[in-house]
Amino acid sequence: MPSLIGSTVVMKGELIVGEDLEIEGTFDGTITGNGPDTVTVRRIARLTGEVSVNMVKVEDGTNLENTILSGRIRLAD
Amino acid sequence: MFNKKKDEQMEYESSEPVISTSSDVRRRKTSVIGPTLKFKGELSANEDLIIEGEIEGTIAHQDKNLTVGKEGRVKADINARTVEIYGKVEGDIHGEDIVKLAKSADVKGNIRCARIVMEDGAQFSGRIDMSQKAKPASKPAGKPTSLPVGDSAKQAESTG
Repeated sequence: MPSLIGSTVVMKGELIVGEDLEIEGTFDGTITGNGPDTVTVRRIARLTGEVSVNMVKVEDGTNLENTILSGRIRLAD
Repeated sequence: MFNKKKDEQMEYESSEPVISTSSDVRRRKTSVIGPTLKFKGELSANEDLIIEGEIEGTIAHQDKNLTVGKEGRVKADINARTVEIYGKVEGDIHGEDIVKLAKSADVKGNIRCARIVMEDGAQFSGRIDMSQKAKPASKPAGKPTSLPVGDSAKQAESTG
């Protein structure tokens, strides 16, 4: 069962991930990966802060204002 | 074989409000904090939530179902409509309707709820306040199911 931060979820703080993660909700803070993980940011997500993981997939149209991404970044339709 | 399966489950009478298994919930709309995730901070949600990882901070999660899986470790107060615990929780638990502690549960904190189910083997340290009445569910319940203790517990048992 993959990890999912659903559309109504609001998280503020520090998150460490070691598996694939999908974000549809609101996250404000830092996301750090400690493995070959992929973070997928859906269009409806609101992401603020810093994401440092192996791979970030960003859906077309996603608002990433005030967000720093690092790692392999892939823009998806 | 059938009896063994029954022994592994907490059973509820058909008059109980419906509480789906983890996989059922997932098919609807459920957020999942996986076993490798560690979160420190504030978390709020208006959807069902399964926690298999570690959470420390605050959880504001009213009127929905919250499950702390067997691998889940939570240091936070919990508010939800139904609360199912298979893992470890340090903090107060408020279940608007029902709180369930599986045999693998380890809870340190006070519990406030209308109803409680505590499976044989569950560890609990705290007080229980059952003075509140259960609120009616906001949505009509589906087909009643026997419950238990969910897929996460089965998975955990199968994996050792």
